[in-house]
Order: sequence, then structure tokens, then C-alpha cells
Amino acid sequence: MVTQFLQTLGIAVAPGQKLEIMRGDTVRMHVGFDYRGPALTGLTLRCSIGQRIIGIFDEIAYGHARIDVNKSMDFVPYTAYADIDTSPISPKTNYDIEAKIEEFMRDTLVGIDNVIDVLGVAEFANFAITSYEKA
Amino acid sequence: MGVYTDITQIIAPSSAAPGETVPVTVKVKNIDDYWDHVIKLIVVFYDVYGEMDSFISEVVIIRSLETHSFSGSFTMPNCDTVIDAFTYYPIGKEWIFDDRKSKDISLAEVPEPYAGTISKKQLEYDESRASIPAYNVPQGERGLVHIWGRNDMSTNQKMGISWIVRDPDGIVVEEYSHWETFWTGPGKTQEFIGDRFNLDKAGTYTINVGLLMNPDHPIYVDIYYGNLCTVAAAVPSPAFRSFAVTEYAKQ
Repeated sequence: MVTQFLQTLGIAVAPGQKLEIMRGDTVRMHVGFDYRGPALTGLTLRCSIGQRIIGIFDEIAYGHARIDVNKSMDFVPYTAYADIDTSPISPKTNYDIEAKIEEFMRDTLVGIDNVIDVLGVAEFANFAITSYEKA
Repeated sequence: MGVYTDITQIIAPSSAAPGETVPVTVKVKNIDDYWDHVIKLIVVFYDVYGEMDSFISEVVIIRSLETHSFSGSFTMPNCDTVIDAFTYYPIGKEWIFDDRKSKDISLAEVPEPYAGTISKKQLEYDESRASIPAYNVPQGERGLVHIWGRNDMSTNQKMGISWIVRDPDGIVVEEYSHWETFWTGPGKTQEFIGDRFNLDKAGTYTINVGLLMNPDHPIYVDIYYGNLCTVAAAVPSPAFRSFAVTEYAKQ
């Protein structure tokens, strides 16, 4: 219950922990990495929510963010994030996530399975007056 | 030959450069076969104005039939000159002239001092050239040194070169020396090209260069001891490490 409360407030969860969201919420996914080499600008961080089916990740929702890295002879730590609009995701449990820098996918692609549960919006069906009587 | 003396020999060089100290030895024999004699020797040379300057004036007793050596020196004037030696013997208070001998000394031609200049220095790398010291040479290039020497004399000269290149750790990466096959005319330059070597360390490479003349007895006429180039560390190819999702949150 406490976790649910904190998540409602937008508290982040660590990799491997479950995050419950409502369909349509925005999920912010943070990444960290070390980089060395020439300065690069306009790299694309792509963070996704989807389902891994027999090893293939079926991306359902994703978000982009631009990343710039400086020239460095040694590895330097960086952090970045991208926001994901979850509107396309159907209510269900155990969605998977992936993150990568598109231009260096081979070096950066990572994923975590079964960490997003999506609840449906509140729905009422068959609402009707079924009887009335003197009480 | 005089009455009592014979100036038998003047020992001196036949030529001397202006300003040079000229050593002179004069040998005088007492030719009297019975008596010893008091003998005075005066030796002079003639300066640029033709005036006599004495540089030996000495009185000695020379034994019968013996020879005495007188020594002295003078500074060579800027002209040909003559050494004149005179002997005298005394009668009462007078010195009586007895013998005279001369020797010519010509003015030696002053050799032109060796003179040359390292007029240009270049480092070739990556099919381009830069003046030495060169800066920001990419790491991993192959270097080739070009040095030009100029003959600053009025005569043809055979020039030589010698240099040592050291890497940033002080390790010798190239030693080169060479004498040109023929010669270089006055005011002309000669290019010397070394061997290729690796510029595989980041930092400052140094070079000690000497331009030489006179192959029989080489002398340095110009030197350059300084930086050859700075080599910039090569930027590694892009590399990512420890890429990971660190957290995710509902906004």
C-alpha cells in the first residue's frame, strides 16, 4: 500500500520493482551510462514499454529524448530520461520496458521484464434502475 | 759576420696573422777563438708606419767560439714586416755595431671563419608539413624531419647535419647525420631529410640539431635545441559503458 501511495505521488522505483500506472499516465524512465570518445550531439534516447514475446520485444508505447555527450579521453558518467505516454497501452499486468540510444543500439540496448502494470480507467457498465419500493 | 760575432740564425715563422704573437729566437756566435766578449743584441720589427719597435734588448757574455740564443716575441702588425737583429760590443762607454741579420715575415691571410645558419625546419606528417616546433600533431602519425642549412660564407662549403629526436619519455626515436655529397655555394641552402619515425606518444617531442662545416675537423656553425612538436592524444572511438535503466516513475 505504501508503494502504491508513493507511486501515486510520482516516486520512482528501482529497476526490477513493479510500477502500477493508469492507462494514459506518463512514465518517466531514467537511464545512466558512461561515455568516452569524441563529442556527439543529437543522439536519441528511446525508452519503451511493451511485451517480450519469445525474445522479441513488441513495443507499444515509447518516448524520445535528445542526448549530447562531450569529448572525453576517459569514461564520464551521464544520466538522461525520456517520458512515455501510456495511452496506447491496454490495461494488463507485467509489461516489459526497454531503453537504448538509437545510434548505438548494439552498445546500449537494455530491458527489464514484468515491471509495469497498467490499470484501466474507471468504467461502469449496465447501470440501471432495477426496482423501486417503499422503504 | 762582424768582428766578434756572427748572427748565425733567426728562427721565426715566415708568415703570421695580424695580432698573432710571433716567437723569435736569434742565435749569436762569438767568433773570437781566444777571448770571451760582452755582447749586446737588439732585435726589432717594423710596424705599419715603418717604425722600428724593439722586442729583444739584452747584454750577455758569450764564451769564445760559443753560441748564445736570445728569445723574445712581438705582435704581428697588419702588414708584412722584417725582423732586424743587431749585435754590438763595447769600447769604453760606447757600443760598437758588429753584425746584422734580417728575416722577412709576411702577413698571413686570415681564414674566413666558418659560418652557416639553420634557415628552415619542418616536420612532415600525414602528407603535410608544419614548421618546427609543430603543434597538435595527431597521435599515431609517422614523422619526417626536414632541415635546411645555409652557407653564410663567401666560399663554397660542404655542410653536414646531425640531429637526435627524443619522445616525451626522453627515449631516442631518431638519430641522423649526413654530409652533403658535393658543396653549397655562398648564400645557398641545402636540405637534409632524415628517416621516418613514429609519433605514437602524446606529449612533447624534442630535437637537437647541429649544422656542421669542415668535414675534416667538423665544427658546429649553428644549432637548434628545442621542441620538435606536441602530439595530441588521439580521441578514442565512441564507447558506452554500463548503460542501464536506473529508475522509472509515474509522473
